[in-house]
Amino acid sequence: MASLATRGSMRMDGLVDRRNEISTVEFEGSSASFFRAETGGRKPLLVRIRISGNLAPRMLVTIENAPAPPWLEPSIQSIGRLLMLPRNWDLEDAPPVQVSSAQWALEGLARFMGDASAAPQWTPTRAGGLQADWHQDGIDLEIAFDCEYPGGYVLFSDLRDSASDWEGPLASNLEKLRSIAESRLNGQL
Amino acid sequence: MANSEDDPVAIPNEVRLFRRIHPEWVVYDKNRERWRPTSQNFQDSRDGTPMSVFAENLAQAHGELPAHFLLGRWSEWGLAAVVAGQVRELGQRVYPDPHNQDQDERFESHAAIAGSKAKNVMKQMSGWAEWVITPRARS
Repeated sequence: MASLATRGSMRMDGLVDRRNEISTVEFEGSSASFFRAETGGRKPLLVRIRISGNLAPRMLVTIENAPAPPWLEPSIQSIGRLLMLPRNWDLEDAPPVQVSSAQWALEGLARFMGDASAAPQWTPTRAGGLQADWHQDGIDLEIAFDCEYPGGYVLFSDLRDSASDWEGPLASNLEKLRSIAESRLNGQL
Repeated sequence: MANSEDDPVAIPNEVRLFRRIHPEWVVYDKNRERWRPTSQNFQDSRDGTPMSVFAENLAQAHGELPAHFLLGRWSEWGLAAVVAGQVRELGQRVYPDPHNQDQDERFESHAAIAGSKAKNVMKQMSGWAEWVITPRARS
């Protein structure tokens, strides 16, 4: 069992990854689980997220039946830190990162990331959302999750072939993203 | 009130435009082997006013140095440059805008990049940006 604790307030429910049969279920009110059904001889994956503390909220994440996808733990760590940014963190009255954005972001990645995919670099958006960036293996890939595009909006550039650049909602481009994840997002950042 | 028309006479195409970069909006680019500002840095202000920059030619004319733009509350931020001609190619207007800045600041080189900032425009500018001063956390 692997576990980690990070500061932040997070509530997840209803996470579904149809490709890898990953789903979340609400757990004890302020916690959630992230569950991958047993398939192809692989062990089931269960991640429990528990929230505690109203004045100084903490996000406790427990990953059972490891290994979890390598991108998940560093993503949770990064997102947990960003959830603690105060209002006006950008000096232009930006709101804090919304818990719903964290849910949208992890849901979005779970829909196309492979077991060998590298974790993205996470940054906040000015609208209380999150952005995932990969700049590796000759590609620039950005996915923003916020109230404008809760399901994620993708910008992709192939530095070897600029004619193949594209952008659009994540949900409309899952096959392209799965192909990119398999061929260009491997390895640790 | 500043004229909001593009002004290539006051700010010619070859002039560098300095943009403050938030330390949270920096990621590592393995392709280019350097830190890069994210696209989030290149958008208009929350109050709807155009994106603020400092024009290098105007700064030099008034004795303003890049380090001056990062004093006080900006001390943890970085400074990156895009070139006026490049952003004009993205349909943006570039013009001096000395009157539209925070009340406690007065830089004669303050300028605006005005125009629609679609996500691909913001990303293009982030890819072009070159560091002048990296944020402290990344230096």
